Amino acid sequence: MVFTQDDARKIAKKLGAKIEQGKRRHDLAVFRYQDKRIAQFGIRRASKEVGHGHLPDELFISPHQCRDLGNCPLSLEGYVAILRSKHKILDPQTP
Amino acid sequence: MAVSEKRARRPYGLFVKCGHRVIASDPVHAPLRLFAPESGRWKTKVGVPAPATANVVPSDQVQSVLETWVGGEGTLEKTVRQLESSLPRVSEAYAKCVWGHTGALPYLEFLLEFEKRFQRIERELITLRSSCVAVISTFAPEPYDVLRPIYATLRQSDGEEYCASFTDANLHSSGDNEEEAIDNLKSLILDVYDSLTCEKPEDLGPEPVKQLAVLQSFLAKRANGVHPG
Repeated sequence: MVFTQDDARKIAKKLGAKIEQGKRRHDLAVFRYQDKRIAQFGIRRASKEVGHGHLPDELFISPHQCRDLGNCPLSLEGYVAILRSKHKILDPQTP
Repeated sequence: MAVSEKRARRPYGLFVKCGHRVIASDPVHAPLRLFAPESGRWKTKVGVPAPATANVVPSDQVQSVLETWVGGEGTLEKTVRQLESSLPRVSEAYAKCVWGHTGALPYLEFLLEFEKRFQRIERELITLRSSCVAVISTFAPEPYDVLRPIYATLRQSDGEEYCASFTDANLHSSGDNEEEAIDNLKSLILDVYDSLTCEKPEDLGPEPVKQLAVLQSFLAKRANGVHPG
């Protein structure tokens, strides 16, 4: 399954990730949930289409889920639920 | 394609023919030989047993084994392509053998052996490809010290691109070749390190906490921000 920087930017937009301008060759998309930094992924700056096959790893999901995240079937809420199940997002502690 | 049987000039040899071309010989009675279509000639005569420790065989040795098995020349990729292009024709021969051609048993045995060898080569190639490691020992001219070597795994992805990964920190980048992939990974490591160290610790989720801890155990920014020399 091939992912490009366009897919990466599309996913970043969907997650509401903040794009930090890296000092070097990448922009860094930082995904926060409830004010906590949860995940980030590099987006290569390139005029041509370049592969970002590592996106699923950096987002802690499968390639199929990553494709769904970019193409709508997987919502932000769905993605958050997956991260919760993998303990990448911790539930707020109840008093 | 006709599957036929003929006697070789030597005392052994049952051959599978494709038109006028012989594409495989019978290893039960003769050493393995395959026909190289681009040259129109046999190139090898010797069947080599599979190495017992396939996962530690360097790629040049695997190539050598492949060349001996398949009779290919040049690059490993070319040899593999030859092998792949041979397989459908061999399978066709296999199918015809199954339908009761006279003397089919030796062909069947050969073809099953061929299939086993092909699968073994595939496994070896996957192992070799996934075990390629590059060591990052410097970030010069960037003002960062490497506290201990970073081992990055390199694999070819999507046909032409290479992906470099620093798995402990879950950082990955790609490039058109191995060197570019590693350079991009080094750049990403520093960008993520800078970004994470600017965050308040309480703002980090579980994974970024882990990433920062891993990165801090592998590199540190020089206090004066200058690279020596």
